[in-house]
Amino acid sequence: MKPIVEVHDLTVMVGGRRGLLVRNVPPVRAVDGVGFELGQGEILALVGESGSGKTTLGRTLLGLQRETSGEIRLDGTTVSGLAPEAARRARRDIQYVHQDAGAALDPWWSIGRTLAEGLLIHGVRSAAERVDRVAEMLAAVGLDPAWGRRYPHEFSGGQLRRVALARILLLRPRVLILDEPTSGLDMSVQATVLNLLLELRERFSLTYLFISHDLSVVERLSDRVAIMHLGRIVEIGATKPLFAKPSHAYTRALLDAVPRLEGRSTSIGMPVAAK
Amino acid sequence: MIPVLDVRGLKVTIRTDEGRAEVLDDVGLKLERGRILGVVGESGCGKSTLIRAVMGILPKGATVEAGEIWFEGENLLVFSERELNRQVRSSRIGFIPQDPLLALNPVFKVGTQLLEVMRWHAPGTRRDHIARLVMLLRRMQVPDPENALERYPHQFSGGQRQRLLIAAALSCAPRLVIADEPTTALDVTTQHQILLLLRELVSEFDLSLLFVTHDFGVVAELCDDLCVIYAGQTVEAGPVQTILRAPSHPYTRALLACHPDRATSFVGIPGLVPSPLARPAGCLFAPRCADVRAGCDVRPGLGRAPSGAQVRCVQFT
Repeated sequence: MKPIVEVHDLTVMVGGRRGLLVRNVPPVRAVDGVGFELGQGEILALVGESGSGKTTLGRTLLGLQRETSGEIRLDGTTVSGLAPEAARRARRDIQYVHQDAGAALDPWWSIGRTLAEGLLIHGVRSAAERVDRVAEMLAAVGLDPAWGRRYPHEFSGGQLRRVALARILLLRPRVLILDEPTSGLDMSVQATVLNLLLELRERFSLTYLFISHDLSVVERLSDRVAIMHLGRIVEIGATKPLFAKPSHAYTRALLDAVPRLEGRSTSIGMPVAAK
Repeated sequence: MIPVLDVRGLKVTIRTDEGRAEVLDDVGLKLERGRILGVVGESGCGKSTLIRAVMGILPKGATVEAGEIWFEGENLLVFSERELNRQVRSSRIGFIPQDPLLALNPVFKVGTQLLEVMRWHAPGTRRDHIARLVMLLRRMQVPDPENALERYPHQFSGGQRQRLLIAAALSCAPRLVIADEPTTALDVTTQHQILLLLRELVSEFDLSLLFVTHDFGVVAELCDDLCVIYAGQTVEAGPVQTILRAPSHPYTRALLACHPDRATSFVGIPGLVPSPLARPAGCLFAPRCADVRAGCDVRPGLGRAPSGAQVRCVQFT
């Protein structure tokens, strides 16, 4: 499998300030020497607790956060070390689906208008083409194209996730960073959203970086898993063997904590080091 | 032994601009002393309304049309607002909310907020209250419990805030604790610790716990009994192990099939929970049911399935 994204020894420092009159605050090493490859068409899950650096890593790949050191390659071309604007342009193939779909949409804009805006920014000048592509994409994510006239509050949580997906897919990305795509959804709706993600991957030949802390979902959906802890990837590997035989102590602690349908876990669980 | 909480045939309607919404139609549940009862259902099935009815904090325009809510042998529905405040809420029924950040006021110290509740609802002096709170915070494994009361909510992490609110719920020594999805906002490891803690607290403080969730995994880990609610009706009730082993109602089966641990493919349940403004005639689940048969056009009552669970389906009546 040809890697579409390659990350080598990536380090990102965030925050921190120095000044004459304020206290010096050292920056935090949010991502610390991370390296991995993302194969074409693959679903790689990025798992870790809050504060483990998974969102920072996602933002850095997008180009929203500048890397401190290390290299990011997209299709073999180095896209790191650029100024923010240039970085974002070079990484148009990578797009991000927001965790809270409701918050990512403007409540005063109809869905159709919001979706068309992305196309306008990306240079689709013909209004008729924009309308057609929006309608086509709404149908692709399983929504009625006529619903483009509706406003965000008229949609349910699961439908909003679909709208958010449609909005990003209009930009014809190749790599999607999905930030907790099913958090806060009912089990019944979660299943339909996951199903849609698999369908869309086939249809648009997408590659997913799937950020999640829901390990049951990760186990079912992803091809490979990377476990992040305190800014580092502590374990990475194919999903099945990793879940069956985790080698890192932190991975074991995480897996033990998952509430399972079959049987109550009796272990008290390994104490997980505080941040 | 009388159950701690016994809800029978509860029917609640809410007046809205678009008409009368039948939010709860026929909900029944029984929580025995020292047990943990899980209430499961999709959003919009009436879980929150059920909790609010038990605590007597239904929104304006809501009416209890029928049914009874028995708490330790007393019918809560005959209590006045003042009696509920003085004798029931906080002092005998504690509440753990879903979002620990929303429940704490950011501009007041944690101690001020928790002691305010105890001032009204717990016996003893302020000094007793502080001693009890510190004891509870230590039990909840909040770091540095003596000084925690002097700190502000933002100085605690999400898991610690949830621990503060569990301490708050227990501060007035209630008999019943109602928890509304208290772990949905937390990491799996933190969730695991909180679930273990809740389990220990139930026996340690002689509590009964009503635990609302939509996660069957959490139910399997934590609860003794289970009550599945759909569109304002109890559709299946019984011991957790019985229902997990042999789910009888088509809705329970469909929900369980959505859980990644059991799912063969990601299908979900087609359709939506019917709007409380326009409930279908006949069985409420029939429009989404994979197992529709003759007789589904009549609303079924509760029957008993071969597994021993109470089930509301025409197959078992």
